[in-house]
Parts: sequence; structure tokens; C-alpha cells
Amino acid sequence: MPTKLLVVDDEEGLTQILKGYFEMKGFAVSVAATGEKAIALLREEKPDIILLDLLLKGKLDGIDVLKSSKENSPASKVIMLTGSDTVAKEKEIKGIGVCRYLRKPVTVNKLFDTINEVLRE
Amino acid sequence: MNLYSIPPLFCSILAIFLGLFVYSRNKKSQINISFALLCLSTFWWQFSWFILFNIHNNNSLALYLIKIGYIGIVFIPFTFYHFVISFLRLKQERRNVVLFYVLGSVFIIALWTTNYFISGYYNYFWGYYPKANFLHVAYLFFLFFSATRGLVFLLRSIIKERTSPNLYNQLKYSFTGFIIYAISSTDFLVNYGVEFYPLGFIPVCLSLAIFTYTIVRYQFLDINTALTRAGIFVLVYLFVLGIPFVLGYKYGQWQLATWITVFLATSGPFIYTYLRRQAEERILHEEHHAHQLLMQGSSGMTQIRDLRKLLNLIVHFVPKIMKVRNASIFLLNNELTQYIQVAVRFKNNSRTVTAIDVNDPLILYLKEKRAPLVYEEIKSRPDDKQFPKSEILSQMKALSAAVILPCFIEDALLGFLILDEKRSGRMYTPEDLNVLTTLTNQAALAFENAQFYARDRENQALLYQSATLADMGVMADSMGHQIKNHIQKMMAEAGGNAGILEEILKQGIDNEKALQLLKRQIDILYSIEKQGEAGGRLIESISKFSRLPKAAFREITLKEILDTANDILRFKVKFDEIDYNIRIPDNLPIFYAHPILSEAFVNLIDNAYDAIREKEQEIELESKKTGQSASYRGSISFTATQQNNSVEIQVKDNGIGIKKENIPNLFLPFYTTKATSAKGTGLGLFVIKKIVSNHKGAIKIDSEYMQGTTFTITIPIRQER
Repeated sequence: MPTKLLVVDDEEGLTQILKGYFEMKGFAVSVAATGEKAIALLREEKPDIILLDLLLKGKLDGIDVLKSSKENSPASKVIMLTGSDTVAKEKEIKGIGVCRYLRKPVTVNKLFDTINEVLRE
Repeated sequence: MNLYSIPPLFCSILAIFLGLFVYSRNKKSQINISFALLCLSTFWWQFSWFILFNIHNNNSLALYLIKIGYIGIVFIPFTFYHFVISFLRLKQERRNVVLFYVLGSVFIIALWTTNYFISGYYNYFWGYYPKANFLHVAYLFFLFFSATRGLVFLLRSIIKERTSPNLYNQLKYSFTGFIIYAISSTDFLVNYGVEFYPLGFIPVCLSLAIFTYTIVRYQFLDINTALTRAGIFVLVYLFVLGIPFVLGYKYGQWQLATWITVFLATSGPFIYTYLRRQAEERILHEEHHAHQLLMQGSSGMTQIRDLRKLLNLIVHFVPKIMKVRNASIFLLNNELTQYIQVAVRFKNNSRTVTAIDVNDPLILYLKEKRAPLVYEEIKSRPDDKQFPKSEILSQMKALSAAVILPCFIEDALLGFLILDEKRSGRMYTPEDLNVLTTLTNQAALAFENAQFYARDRENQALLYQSATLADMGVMADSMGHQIKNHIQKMMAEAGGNAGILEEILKQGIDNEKALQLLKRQIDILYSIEKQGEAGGRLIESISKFSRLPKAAFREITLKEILDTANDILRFKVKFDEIDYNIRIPDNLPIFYAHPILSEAFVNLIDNAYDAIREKEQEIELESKKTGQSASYRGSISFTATQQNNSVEIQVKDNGIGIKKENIPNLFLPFYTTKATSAKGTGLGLFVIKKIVSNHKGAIKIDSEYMQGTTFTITIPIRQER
């Protein structure tokens, strides 16, 4: 069974590239650009890994998605991948809990390695 | 009462009061003691003559009194010698002083047991008077011998004195007083039968007055004023007391005499003050003029807003007016630890002190007294256990300070003005000090003013800057985010395609050339990815730095700051794989800091972690080459200690270290090398240094390649400005 990966980022170009790359690597990938879509998808599919950005289109942001994932898909391992200023949200994120925290930009290999690490835990 | 006995009475009263006064000023000083003895001898002589001149027709009593009086007279030249030796601090002459005193005692014994010293008496028109015999000649010989010897010492010192114009003057007054007193030796002629009323009391009074004024207030007056004041005093009181007595005794006009006495007694002080002022104005015209200029100057000072200009002005203006060679100003530094020389008229030798610690005895004494310190005055005062004279004096000498004028703003000693000796060698008068104190107070106001303007301009600039930066910060945030996304996309494309090509590689390529080309493409794509990564880190640093002014400085403990830092580090640093030691003492005081200080520590510890990782790689490579495996466990330590008013923080690692040639470049903006790690959030040491200096602190680095690196950061606890 292929590993289920959900990529959540407001930048659609990026999500498409990542989708292509990870599908080539053998993952089952779904993408979301808004918080609402992300929450709907994670409820439905219960992905193994969620790649999550903080800033999203729409009313909801990454933290809302994070909270929702804890409730609705607790088995999902969340990897935060963000480029924005998180100093303000640091404490909140820490309080809710993420598996990994990566700052953009990262190399695809790093991303791949990180995901595999997390899967092994 | 015999009219002729009045002058000796007057003189004796003067002598005893002056002697007691001088003795009471400083009972321990040899100078004061010997002078008091001189006054005592003088009193003894003159008072005996007062009683003697009132004796009529009682020869035996007269002779008795003559011998008593001569006890005082014999010792006069020897007490004088004692005084000169004490004043000149000629320790080797002390033996001779004792010898002279012994000699005096010998003469006294001769006086009382034989007739060879005083053979009898004369009966002159004013009263009895001693008749001298041959031993008296011997006495006169020793008198002139000791007098000349003392004189020669004084003269020699006057000629030799080159360094202190002030001491030179003091020697001059002593010499003058000496000569004037010596005139009284004309009285001895009367002992040999020359009949004239002994007028020795006049030079004696004058000389004593000069000396006393000089000793007691010599630190404030010079010879001209001393002479003037003494002379006027003697003159006025001779009139006040003399005229009524003459009228009463000679002419029997007692009622008139009483009225005149009352009139003169009440107006005496005013006449004295008026005459004194007039005389001093003529004589001290120069000084008054100088004072006027100083007052004018000080009121003009508050107009100056440029601090540097103000300091330079004071340091050039005051010496010119006070006719002093050099002046310098010391101000308290920002760290509140030292007083630093900020302005000086002439930079003389490199030996002059330019910084004084706040706990120096001189500073403590200055704070205690809250008044100008005059070198000569401190020298003459008795010692104080709390403020040891010798330390204070030696420090003043090192500063070439004849006078130190403190500048207090409320309770704090802001700084002080140092003046060296006046060119004329004169002492600083009380009037001088008053004017200079007014000037320094004005200077304090002007200084506050200038500082306020400077701070105001700084604040304006800062406000503008932070407004700009705030805008920039917002812009940098959103721009940074977008740029990072673009870069991420680009990297993902490059990396992704490299991945695809790698898959193709796995399928197998027969053609050798195609294989090579394919491999090369993969490398190129990964290279593009790396470039993107570098770009991303740069953006990160910039946006982090521009966020600086948003948050505010607040009171915070180091533990809090480090906790925040560790929270962030937990995402990256694998703390269980290294030794991570944190040592922050519990009693470390709260200090004033900006939250971004945590970021600085995050970066330092992050760099340390990367340095350890790099060393691990190097060691692995080495062991592959040599076949030996080395055991290495990375360690990072974070220690904080309190050093006086600052906190000293050390971040130490045993990682790969930095090569010596790279160390000077470390703090350049955005400079990174492999060893300082470009992998992390890369604030760059330049930014870290900026953060530390915003906290008014300092950062130091010690590193050795393959050994490790230690960063030492010192931050003062209170920087409320």
C-alpha cells in the first residue's frame, strides 16, 4: 500500500511539482491550497504524512489545519514546511505539537529523507 | 598703668592667640607645633615686658621679672630655627634643633645662677630694662648663627625650587616674615645702654600676622594679600585702641577717650573691611577681572548644544582666564565603571592618567566632600582613616591636578574638571573656587542640555529609522515569503527533475556518452538546488534582521531567553546525541533585553551543533583513510556568570573550529564559511554582533581548527538609556 501524503500549501505551482516528484517516488499524493480543502481531505483520506505550510489561502491557516488533524486524523504525522515568520506562532505550534519543522526552502532530497525518517518512527 | 606697657601687652595678646589658633588647627604637625612654640616664646617675652614696664621703684622684683622674661627671649631664635626646619622638612637638621634647645637651656641656667648673662637692669624713661653681660654676647652669636643658618636654608630652597610655583611662593613668604621679625633684634641695642623705646614689637606683630595668615590660610592667599590684610589689620586696630589710650593717659581726657573708643570699636570692622576691599581691588584687580570673564563665559555656555564643542570650549577657555597651563575634563562612561578623560587642552606625556575607576579613593572622597579638592589643602589637613591622604594625593599628582572641580547632577557625580597649578604659583583663593564652582554647575546644565539635544536627535533618527524598518519589516516578511516560495518551486523543479533522471539512470543506459551526459545533467540540477538553498538562507537572515525594532526591550531573565532558544532548537538539534550543558546560576540578576536575543543564542548553538556534525564527518573521513576509528562525542556548553555590572555568557563547543585566517572576517555582514555552518537559520555573526551591541554588550570569539570554538558575550545588566 503506497504511503498517503497530503501536501498543503497556498502556492499551487509548488504543490504540483511536489506531487509529481513524490508520485514518482511511489507515494499517493493529494494536494490542498486552502485550509478548508485541507481539513476535508484529511478527514476523508487520513493521510500518513501531512506536509503543511502556515500561510494558506482563505480564512483558515496552517494552525487551524494542525488542530483539525489532531482531532480528526490523529495518526497523521505532520511536517511543517513554511517560509513565513513563525516567531509569534512558535509557542502555539509547540503546544499543539508537530513531528518536524522545516523552513523553506529545502531540497527535495531533504524532504524525502525527513519523510522517511518520520515514517520509521 | 604705664602707657609704654601697652604695646608689649598688645603684642603678647596677639602672639598667644595666634599661637593657640595655629596649634588648634593641627596639633600633630611639626610646623604648627614649632610655630606655636615661637608664638609662646614671643608672648612670654612681650607679656613679661608689659608687667616689667609697670613696675616702679621695686628693683628686686624688676630683676626677677627680667630673668623670667629672658626665658622666653632665649628660646625665640631656636623655635624659629625649629619652625624653618619643619617647614622645609630637613630631617637631617633635627639633631641641630635639639642641640639648640639644649644650648638655650644652658643659657637659662647661666641666666638664673650667675650674673654673667644678665648683670642687672637699666632704669629708662619708660621703665626697667635688662642690662646685658658678656654671656649675652655669646647668646647673640648663637642667635645670629641659627638665624643665618635658617635663612641660608630658606634661600637655598627658594633658588632650587623649580617644579612648584606654589611652594616657591610659600618659601618667599616665610623668608619675608623671617626678615621682618629679625628687625626686632634692634631691641638688643637697648640692652647695651642705647636709650630708645624698644620698637621691636612692631615688626614682631607684623611678622607673626603674616606667618599665621600664611599657615592657616596659605592655601588660599598669596603674599600680596597676606601683607595687605595683616598690615591693614594692625594699622586699624592700632588706631582703634591707640588713640583712646593716648588721650586717656597722656591728656587725662577719659570721657572723650571713651566716646572715641565706642565710635572706633563699632566702626573699626567696617573701616577695616572697606580699606581691605579697596586695597584688594587695586591689588587683585587682575583676579577680579578673571572672575568676571569666567562668569560671563559660564552663562554663555548653556547656549551651546554640541557636546564636543562645549567640552573643548571649557578646556581652552578656563585655563586661559585662570592663567593655568592645562585643563582636562573627565566624564563617567556609559558602562558606569570609569571616569574617562574626554577633553584636554594639552596632551602632555603618555604617563598622564586618562581613566579612573569609580571605586578609586579619589573618586570616593570627591563624592563624599561634594566640593572642590585643592591639592595643597589636602596636604596640610590631618589624615582621615576613611580617605587616606597619601592615595588621594598621589592620584592627584598623577593627574597633574592642583584643583579638581566636581560636577554633580542631583546626586550623581557626572564628571570633573581638573586644573593644574597657576602660572603665577599662587594658590587658588576661595573666590577662585566659588567662581569655578559656579562655572562647573553651569557646565552641568549645559551638558544636560547638549545631551538632551543629542538624545533628542538620536531619538528622532531612531524613530524614523524604526518606522522605515517597520515598513521594511512588513515588506520583508511578505516579500521574503514570496521569494522563498519562488525559490522553493525552483528547487523542487530542479531536484524533482534530478530525481526523474536518476530513475531513468536506474533503468540502465547502454550508450556510454549518453550515460555521462545524463549524470552531468543530474549534477547540474542538484547544483541549481544548492544555489536556491543559499538564496533562501540569505532571505531568511534579512527578514529576521529587519524584524528587530518591532518587539520591545523588557526585563527578562537569562533562563527565559535560553528556554525560548531551546524550544526553537529542539526541532533541529538532536540533544541526546551530544553533551549539552547549561549552567545559569539562580541568583543571576534580571536584565534588560530584547526577545531577539534568543534568536542570537539559537544561532550560536545551532552553529555549534553544525560544527560538531562537521567534525564528526571529518573524523569519519580520517578514520576511513587511516583505518583507525576515533571516538568523539560532541559537546556544547552554555554558561553564564556575573562579572561586576555585567553578565558574561559563554557558548562553547568542541566542534570543528575555525581556521585562524577566517576569524577576522567572521563578523562581516552575512559572511559564512562551512565551519560556521550555512545550513541553519543563518543569522550570520554580523547580525548577532549587532544584536549584542544593541544591548550595549560585546562579543568575543576564540577558536582553533579541529578543537572547537568559544563565543563570549558580555552584556551589562542595566542599560536604561
